[in-house]
Amino acid sequence: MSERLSFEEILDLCIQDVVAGVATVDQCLARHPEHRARLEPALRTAFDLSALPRPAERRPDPARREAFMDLIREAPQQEPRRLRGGLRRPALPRMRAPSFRAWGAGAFAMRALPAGALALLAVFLVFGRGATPAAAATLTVFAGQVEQQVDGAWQPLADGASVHEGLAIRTLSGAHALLTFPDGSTASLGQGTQVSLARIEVDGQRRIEIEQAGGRLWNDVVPVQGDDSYRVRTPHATVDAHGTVFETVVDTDTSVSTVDGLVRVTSAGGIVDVLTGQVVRATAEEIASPEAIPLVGEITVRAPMAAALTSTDGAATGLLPSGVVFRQVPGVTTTGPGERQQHMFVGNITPGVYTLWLRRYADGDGIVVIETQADRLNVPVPANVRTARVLIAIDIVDGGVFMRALDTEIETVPEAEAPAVRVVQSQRTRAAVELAARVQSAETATATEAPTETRTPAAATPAATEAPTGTATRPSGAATATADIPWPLALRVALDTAARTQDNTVLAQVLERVLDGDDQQDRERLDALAEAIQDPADRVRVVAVLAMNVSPDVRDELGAAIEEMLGTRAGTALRDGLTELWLGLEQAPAPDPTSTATEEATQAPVATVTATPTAEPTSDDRGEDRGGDDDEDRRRGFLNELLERWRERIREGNRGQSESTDSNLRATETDRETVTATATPEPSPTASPSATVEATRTPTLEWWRR
Amino acid sequence: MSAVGVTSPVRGVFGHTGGPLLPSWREAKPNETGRHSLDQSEARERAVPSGADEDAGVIRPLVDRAKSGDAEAFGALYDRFQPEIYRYLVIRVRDQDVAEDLAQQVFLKAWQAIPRYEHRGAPFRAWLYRMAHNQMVDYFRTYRHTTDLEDVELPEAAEAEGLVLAAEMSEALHSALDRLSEDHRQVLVLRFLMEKSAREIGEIMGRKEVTVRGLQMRALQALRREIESQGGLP
Repeated sequence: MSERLSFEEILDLCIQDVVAGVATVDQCLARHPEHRARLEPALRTAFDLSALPRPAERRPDPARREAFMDLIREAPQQEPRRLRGGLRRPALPRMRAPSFRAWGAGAFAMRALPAGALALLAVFLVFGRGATPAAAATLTVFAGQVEQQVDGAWQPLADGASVHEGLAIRTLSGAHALLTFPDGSTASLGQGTQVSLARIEVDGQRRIEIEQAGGRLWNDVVPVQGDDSYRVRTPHATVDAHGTVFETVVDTDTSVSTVDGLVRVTSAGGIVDVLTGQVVRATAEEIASPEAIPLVGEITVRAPMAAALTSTDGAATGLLPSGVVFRQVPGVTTTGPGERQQHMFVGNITPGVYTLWLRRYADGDGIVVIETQADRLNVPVPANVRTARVLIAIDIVDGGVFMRALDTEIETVPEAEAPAVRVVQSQRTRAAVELAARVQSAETATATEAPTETRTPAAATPAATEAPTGTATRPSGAATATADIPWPLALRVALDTAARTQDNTVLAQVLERVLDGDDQQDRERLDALAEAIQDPADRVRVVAVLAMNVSPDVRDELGAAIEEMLGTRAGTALRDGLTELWLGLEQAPAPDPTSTATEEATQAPVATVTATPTAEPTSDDRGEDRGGDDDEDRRRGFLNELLERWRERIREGNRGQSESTDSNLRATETDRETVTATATPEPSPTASPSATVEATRTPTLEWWRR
Repeated sequence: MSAVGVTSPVRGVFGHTGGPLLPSWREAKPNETGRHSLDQSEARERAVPSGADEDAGVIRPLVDRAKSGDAEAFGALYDRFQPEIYRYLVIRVRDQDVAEDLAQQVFLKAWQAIPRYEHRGAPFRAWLYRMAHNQMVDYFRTYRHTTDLEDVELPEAAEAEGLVLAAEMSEALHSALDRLSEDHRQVLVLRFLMEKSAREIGEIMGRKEVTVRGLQMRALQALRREIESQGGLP
């Protein structure tokens, strides 16, 4: 916001003065000579209007008042409004299953990335000062003063500074700062927070350890793998996270709130796993049972716009059109890129006025739904709006935190006025940008190869489908440079990069796309999937994401794909992963993070999923019936269903009813390993996903019992 | 209103530290640190009583009692707001009897709906204005054809103390107002005939203050064009 008053403000002030008789029209005009031409007619009109005669107020006629009182004594009142059940539920809701079909060409940020978005991203990224060594975090100061301890004395620390392992820093009153670790994990320090970075290791295994002496620390942890760890130590407890969003508040005790994922709190009082939507409080002696975190509001973006909620100090939580995700505002989290809808959840947030920024990443209109305890506001987003904002207020009333939208419509804003989001470059942002760029360039190639391809559902590949979106804005040189990239490469690159971003949501979007059927290139898709899950470390995560984080349609396709691949290495990997997942859920309703397999298997879905196996993918409003605590049941239900179906198929296979029903799959009767590597199937636009289901091998029943 | 509305941003996760009742955001613009400073906007809104102050001190207890079915408390609200709502309706429909009836309907509906009123939403006064506006729009939808300009009464012009504006000029302005869009007309009536600030108009219309200022500017421009298209004011 500029310091200078806008014309509207000047006019308003002048009107105030003129109407109140404090100044004449001429005096106002003399004060603002630069606006005279516009100001004068408006002010003269205002003056005329203010001189209009107006009726005086008068007290109601006593007889009329008496009649009225008689009336209301008889008139029944309405029932008080009830808070919506969805907001009463204890847990913060998790992500919904995404579907790529919903937006058609603009299904997810990365695929429909406008060419300008990459260039734009550079503007948004903030680079650390000088070359930041790997074992250091980069400091971003949003407000106030931050200090580091040097030889026992506190000295000011500048914005952009590197904070090395072993260093202690603190935020003074009124300050807000962010530490960005090399992997992209961030810790947001509220005012009066003191931490020291006990450990920052990022080469090979990632180990980040923060000692928090006091204050409020909001952590957004890039999902960890294997023995990686992200740990916060407080005087009262040790908090371990594995890819999650959580907050630690240290005062006379330590409270730990998990907003996404799962966090393990270890203290002298015991070990407690804090699930999404829970808070637990630990003192040096004891640890309380988890309680629910109240949800203040939810913002759902059902438009091809990347949304970010920014506070007045410049901290932001949300997405950029490039797919870069950031969670810097304490109390607010967002789902990642690739969701059909972006969801932002507002919990324990500092009161104030926030701005919801919307930036377009693909064509199309839609709505933004702003849901608070009191109401639900649908804000339309027209197709011609590129950048827009909505103001959101967070108030404390009677000790409770309340959110409300201050606008009922979006305010279109010139792109240049949208504030830069201060995201420090990290492995995470690089991966997101790289993914976006490579997917885009591969898709450009596809678009170039098949410029006449239409969006016929049976014939269009995902790449071709979105070609029209990007063609207009793509740089002209890109197409020739990448013209020879075959179609599946985009997916392989995307999978590969998504695995490295270690973000389940990104992974889900790519996998969903891999599995999204209705195209002729089943073989390539499966091949790409097979490659993706060769690495055992990724396997369970991939499977969990596949099973939980994709739409029912795609899950059907998943079933088909796995059966298709049984007997191949990829098929075996998928099968084993799913079995692990299944066993994990079977054995541990409360996840047990001590076992690596179980931990991975249970944690991934907890972190990212609200599986709605029965919901139609076309339902635009899955949020309505968020069941809440029955996610676990839903997951089990889905797995049961899936496994039962497979068992049935396998039994059928055992009974010798396994002839392939589709000429396109004949090749599977021979050695799959060879086929998947070499075959180029004939185009078969009519091949439905279910046609790929018939198993031609005769797998045993043992694999799922194990 | 004191400036201590917001306590420390560091709050326990089990809830909030409570503290004094926060005024509406409109009383408290955020400063650069994201916290409220309650005196910033006072200069601008100097002539306007703070709706939240009034709400917190006097109105709110009455509203709470009315919410739980206390007709006498609602009677007090009626006494306090009926004259203003009536005046707004007279200006809009320019017929005292119709305005009186509409006002009665507004307050009856308000009584019925008050259990659903939420303090954290619009201030009570703005809530009443919205109801009055809706009632008026309904009225025009049904009876528009009967309120052409010939029927318009302007008895108030004669009563208005010392105003020299000729009835003709008033008529021309009203006629120009009538040709504006409803949003433009509403913002001008509220601003110039009901003497509301941009902030209060925002509360009534459910718009942001800055939006109201823009709307006000465009409404004045539109009114100007309308007047000029009729050859200017007499």
